[in-house]
Amino acid sequence: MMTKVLRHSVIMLMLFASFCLIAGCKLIAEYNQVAYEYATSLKAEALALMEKASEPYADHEEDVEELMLEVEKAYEYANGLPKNEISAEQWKILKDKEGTLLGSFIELWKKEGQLSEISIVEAKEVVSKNFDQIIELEVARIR
Amino acid sequence: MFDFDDFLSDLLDGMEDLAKDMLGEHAKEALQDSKDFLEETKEDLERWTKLLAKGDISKEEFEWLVASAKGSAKMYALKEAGLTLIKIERFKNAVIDFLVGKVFALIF
Repeated sequence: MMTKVLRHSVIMLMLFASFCLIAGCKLIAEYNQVAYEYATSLKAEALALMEKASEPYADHEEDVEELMLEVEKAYEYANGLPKNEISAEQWKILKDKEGTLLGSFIELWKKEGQLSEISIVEAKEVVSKNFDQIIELEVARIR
Repeated sequence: MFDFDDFLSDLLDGMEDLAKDMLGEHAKEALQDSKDFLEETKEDLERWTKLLAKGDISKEEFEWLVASAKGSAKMYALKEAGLTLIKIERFKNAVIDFLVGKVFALIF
């Protein structure tokens, strides 16, 4: 009987110790206000700049470089946070010049010189929704 | 006399209920969200094809739009993966709260 009580006590202590260990193990980074602000402000800036793609790229090259620098900063910030690999990967896909989203839209504009207004409307919708994927994930972390 | 096996069985039942409530609902939501996403993508592709046929967009613009569906799918999948981790994290915390509550109720 003493052996059974001792065994149960050891199991309880082990369970409690496991709870403590598991409680300390984070699966994903917590909500970050700076990350949220990067995503929301760059969404607005990117969409405003895309609107200009019906004009010659050369007239907006500086604005493009400024925007993409900010996007790079947002990526590096996300990449630097622990347990934040998913958000970092999202920024990486978004900014990739050889990808299929914002980075490659800029490359298309550069290559073609200027784009049709209808394609800009469609592309803005695409980029907007993809910024929303980043924002929604960030907001979901708020308890 | 305290029955440890009954206590453990009670703990397991409580954890199962938490899993059904918290994770089961998430699985249903994720499935519906995926269906909605695919439906939207299909509508987008159809619309872009019509725009190309009408000559409203160039071949290069059309190719960018179609390719963007791939990037969008990756972004969506990443978001869903993140939401799942958040749900699991919350489930884990709920289980710990439940277990600690039960153990303290037993001791005090």
